[in-house]
Amino acid sequence: MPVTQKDLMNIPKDAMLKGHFACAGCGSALAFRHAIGSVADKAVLVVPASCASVYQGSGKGVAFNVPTINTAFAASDAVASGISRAMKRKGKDDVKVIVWGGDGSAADIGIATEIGACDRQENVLHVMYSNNVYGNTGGQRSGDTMIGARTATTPEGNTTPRKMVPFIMMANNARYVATASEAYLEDFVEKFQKALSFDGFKFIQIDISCPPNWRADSAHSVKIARLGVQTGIWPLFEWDRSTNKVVLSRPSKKYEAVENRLPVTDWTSLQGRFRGITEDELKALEEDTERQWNFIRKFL
Amino acid sequence: MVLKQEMKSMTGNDAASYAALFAKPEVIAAYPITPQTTIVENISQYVDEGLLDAEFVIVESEHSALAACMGAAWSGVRTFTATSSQGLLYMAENVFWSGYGRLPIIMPVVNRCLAPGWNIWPDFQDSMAFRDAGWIQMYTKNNQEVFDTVLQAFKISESKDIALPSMPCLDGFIISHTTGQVQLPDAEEAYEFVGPYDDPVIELNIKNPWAFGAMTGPDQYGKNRKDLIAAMERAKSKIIDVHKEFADTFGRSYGNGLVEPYGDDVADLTIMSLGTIGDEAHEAIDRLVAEGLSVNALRVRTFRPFPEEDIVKFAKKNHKLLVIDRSASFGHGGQLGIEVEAVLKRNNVDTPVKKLIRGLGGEDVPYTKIMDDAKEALKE
Amino acid sequence: MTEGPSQPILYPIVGSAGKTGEWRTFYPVLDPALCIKCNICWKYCPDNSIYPADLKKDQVISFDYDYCKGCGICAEECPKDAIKMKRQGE
Repeated sequence: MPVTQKDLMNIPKDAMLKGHFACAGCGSALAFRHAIGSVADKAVLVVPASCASVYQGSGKGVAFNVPTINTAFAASDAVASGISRAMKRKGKDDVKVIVWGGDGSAADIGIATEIGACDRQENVLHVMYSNNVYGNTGGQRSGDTMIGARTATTPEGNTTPRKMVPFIMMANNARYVATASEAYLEDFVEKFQKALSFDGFKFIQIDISCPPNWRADSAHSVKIARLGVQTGIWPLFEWDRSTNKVVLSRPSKKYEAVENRLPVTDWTSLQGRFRGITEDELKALEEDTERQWNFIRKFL
Repeated sequence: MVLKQEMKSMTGNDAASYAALFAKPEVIAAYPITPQTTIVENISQYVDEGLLDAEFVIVESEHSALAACMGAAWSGVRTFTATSSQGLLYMAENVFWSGYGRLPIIMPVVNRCLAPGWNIWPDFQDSMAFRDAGWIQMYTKNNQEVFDTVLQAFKISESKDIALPSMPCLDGFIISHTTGQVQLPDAEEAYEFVGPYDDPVIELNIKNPWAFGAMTGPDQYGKNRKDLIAAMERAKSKIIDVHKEFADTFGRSYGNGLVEPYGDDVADLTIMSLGTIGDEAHEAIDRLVAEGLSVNALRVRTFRPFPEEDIVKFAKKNHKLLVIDRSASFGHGGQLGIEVEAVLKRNNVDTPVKKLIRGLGGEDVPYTKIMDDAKEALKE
Repeated sequence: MTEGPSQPILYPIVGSAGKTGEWRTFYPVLDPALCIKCNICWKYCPDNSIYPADLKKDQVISFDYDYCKGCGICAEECPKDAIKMKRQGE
């Protein structure tokens, strides 16, 4: 079902109440607002240690207007499995169990748990929002940090490519895998709704801007996410196990062809985390981007 | 009027499995580790054969096993798992999360010593490492007690005024894999004793959403912890009550449920211990008494909550305590020994205490060894 | 029903982080004449602090200054440059 901006306005209730702890310009909070908002009357959230654990609230109350279970860093998908099975026992088929966590848990410390739940085909949707660092703890490198990014633990620039968790989940027989971007919220919510209509383990990675850790202007939050797609750095696609085919999403279609992509420097120049990036690093980053596209092309 | 039961031969692990089967947990998530493995295999057989109508989640690690059980507990359903040694350590943060989060999960721990080196034989270093995780810990002496304790655990943990997870402990191999006689009640009567989990301690609710475990300040955190400490205190009388109800229904008891005395009320020497050493001590005492020596025993069945009052009462009227631990706390002796010393001091009881550590890494502790230790203690 | 244990449970409230408008260095100002009521700013506000425009009622967008953190996304994304960020105090 295509989702329009009007649909974003027609949600059961606000999922994220105003006056929350997210940083100004946080792409994750923006994504949460619309995605969880669209299922706010039937969602149960499982949140591992992540920025969401913090922007959720504190002391007095929480901003999340849906039942939320906070878990240890690596535990979310297993807790979600337990909840999903319990809901099944209770005949509550309409309840949607959603893991909402960062790249720290989904790409690194929680990946075994995540793949385990996927392997068991648990009826869970895992949304990994990625700012390519352990944001909550001050921006240390994660498995999802790209080449050239300066982080708290890679001050001279990260040397390893992104882990590409979507590909890992495809290889582990997830039911549905998609990528998204905060710049294209209707596209994200459409994929989100589609995933929830399937049974089994679904995975969506949404790349979101993180002004403090990316040393970027908070006003550029959406713009940087858009450039990430327009430079080809972050391909938007969907993969469905029943067809084993990748379908490129409309915002990314044009950028499959290398010649259509905007220069990577358009994207890096807006982010302080790429200050000092060398020609070699840029080249390596572009090559790794092409590696990701080559993987996707196999399924087109 | 005690209910009719049937005598069956089974291992300690089988006994734990039967208790779980009869209690009818709805979600079970488990990961195998020697010597717990046959519990997991039994459960999978019950589920596959349709004997147990439950969701069995074959998780990829112990950390996930307990996490999945926690998910089920948050959803308001009865849940069960089991582990040992490295597995218990691997789920460590979730063990504390369950205890401090007051989730009533039942998890037998088949005691096995900790690596390195790889050693599958029993000692209590594993469960002792978690004595402050907010779990009720009880040490069993034989297969029968395993069944009885696991069944009672559901009733104790799930009661709203307690709401603490339970770790019934059983010596690896000595109990878990050794065949013994177990009186099994009728399945439905056992279930009736536990009762359905229809007033859950906690249950997530779409219509009335809350967040569990979000950022908390010292005030709320302190409130939660204080309540946990109070609940652990209350658990003593709950354990005694449930134990009494069990005794009235099924005709078996172990002291008052917290401690189990053996032999004369007063003796020159009291042997205190946990688990199978406690059972072996009875054999030692019978023979020592036959030789004309004055020895009795007090087996500690419940280690958490610590049965301070019962131990102090027994110690006051006796002359010397010999505490035999199956684990060590470096520089201080064994954990049971340390805590016994502490409660005696706190209550101004000057009965002397001698502490010994036996059975580490599965070292055999036969009654002959206990007799030697007792004779040595009597001489001093 | 017996009272349950004391657990770390918090309920949903507006303003869980307080009046986040106090975080601002810059605040958004709308030129109503330029507002075409597209609601793109409403969509991209991570803090849900923009009251949407209503075409039928011929009503432009407005800001909830209690909670607006002044991130500037709305000003950046407005297709008509109808929003300007002004420094607090000016």
